[in-house]
Amino acid sequence: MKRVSAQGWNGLFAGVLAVCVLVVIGTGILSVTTLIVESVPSIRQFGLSFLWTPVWDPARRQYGALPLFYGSFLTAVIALLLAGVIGVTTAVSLTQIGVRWLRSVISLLLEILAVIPSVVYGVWALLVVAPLFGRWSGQAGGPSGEFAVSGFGVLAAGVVLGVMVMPTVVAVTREAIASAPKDIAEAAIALGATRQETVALAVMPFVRKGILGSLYLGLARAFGEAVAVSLVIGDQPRIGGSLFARADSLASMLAHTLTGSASPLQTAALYEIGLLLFLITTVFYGLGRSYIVREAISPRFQPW
Amino acid sequence: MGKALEARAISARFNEQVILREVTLHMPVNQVTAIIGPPGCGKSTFIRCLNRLHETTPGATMSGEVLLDGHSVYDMDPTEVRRSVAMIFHRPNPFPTMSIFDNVAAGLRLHGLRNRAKLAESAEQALRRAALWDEVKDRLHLYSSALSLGQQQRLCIARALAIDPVAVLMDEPASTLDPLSTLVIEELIEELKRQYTIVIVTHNLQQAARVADKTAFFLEGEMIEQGTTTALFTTPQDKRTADYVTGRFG
Repeated sequence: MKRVSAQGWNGLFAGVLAVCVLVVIGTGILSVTTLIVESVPSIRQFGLSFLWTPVWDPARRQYGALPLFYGSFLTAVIALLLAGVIGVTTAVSLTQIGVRWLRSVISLLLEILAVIPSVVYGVWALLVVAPLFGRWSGQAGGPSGEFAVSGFGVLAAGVVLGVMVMPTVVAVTREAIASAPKDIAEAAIALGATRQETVALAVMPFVRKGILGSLYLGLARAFGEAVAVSLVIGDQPRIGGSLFARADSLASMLAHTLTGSASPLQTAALYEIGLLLFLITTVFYGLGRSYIVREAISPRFQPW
Repeated sequence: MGKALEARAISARFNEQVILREVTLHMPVNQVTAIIGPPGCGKSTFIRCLNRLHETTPGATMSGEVLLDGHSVYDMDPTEVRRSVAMIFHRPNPFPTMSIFDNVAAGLRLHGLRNRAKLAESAEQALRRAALWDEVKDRLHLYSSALSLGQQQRLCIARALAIDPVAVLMDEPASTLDPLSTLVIEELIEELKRQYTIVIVTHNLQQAARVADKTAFFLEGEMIEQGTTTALFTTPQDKRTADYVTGRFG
């Protein structure tokens, strides 16, 4: 049998690595290229005005992304307000719980919240949240079937997104709190600060960036979520001006229309929506990552 | 005036690991007591028990008694104890997001002082006592990071003194400083002992010899020997103490 030299093995190893890396990078490049190529007809037809045209009407072959931006931004803002306030408060409160097992149980529950499939949240919103808002807003009920027929709209979608994003906000904020320098916290304790005072005086100043980072990550998640939003936002690309009005978001529009697209132009417009969605979430994700404090305590592995 | 500290049979653990075994030590009023010993002998844990800082670390437990002026600190509110028994850490740890002035005022504000004039007065007094006033009086609004490491350590001392403690614990306060800054700190300790009871942990034998009135030698969680600094260094009773102070190990 022929022996393979060490150099041969190294060559093989390098080859396998190269293939893997190419597959990963190639997939990324290919999907972006597809998005761009497929949206060309729409870009030709509407140009930049696609971004601010307030009409999305397949019947009149008029496609503008503004109503979808409106739906996406408004739901994301509602989600972040909700997740930001509750999430950060939760993360800070967790540091105040002296009982360690209770802290672990709550953390575990939050982690479980983060892995629940989004469609489950959507169904919950459909069956519980939307009917509730429907009653509050006094929206016309219509013939009641098995599912809620009222309460669809921006607020219901924003609330379900908020619940979905919250675990991320809590986790990242907790991480930021945990990575605040211990010696500074001890300085506060040694001055006679209580647990709460220590957090306020010596921990929170280090956490601001982490919170900002968690909100950007949440924004990326909220923007990209399609299924849960699609179930309750109302699927109507309109700028309603009311929190209870039906609307549609970029991701939701993609999810519920692409397979039933009426014309090549509509398909192209949907691809362009996908392209925009990709760009926006990438920017938010990048911003989020750049704010999150890197672990400075232990030396990290650095490829040489 | 300072108040005496007394440790009675203190034992301390981290989870199952025993760090200190039955240490008993009297730390007299207005004297400097030095704790010496090789790394890992439990000397830092010992002073962290004195102001109840030890118990804030997860998994840390202790037993025994610590008396401040005859009263058990483990019967008192821990925040009160830490207010009376100040701590200076081995690495200067001013609040980096605060100005020099706010650092000194932090403890005062924490304990409810709001009056601006009184805050300014107390801060100046504390900075003077920490021998830092002349160097920072024109730049009190700058971030603490604008100071040298030695100045930062004196800022931490000023911050601790501002809330009028009766004893000051120092955990290798000069270990990260250059020789000149170390000298300034040692001179300061000499000055401070008129008003406070001082306990200093150090791995630097010369430093103990220079600043301490009384010295205790720790080894592997036990206190081997204590006495006046002169006696401990010149006529040690225990062979292990003799070996350590003559530089045969550690």
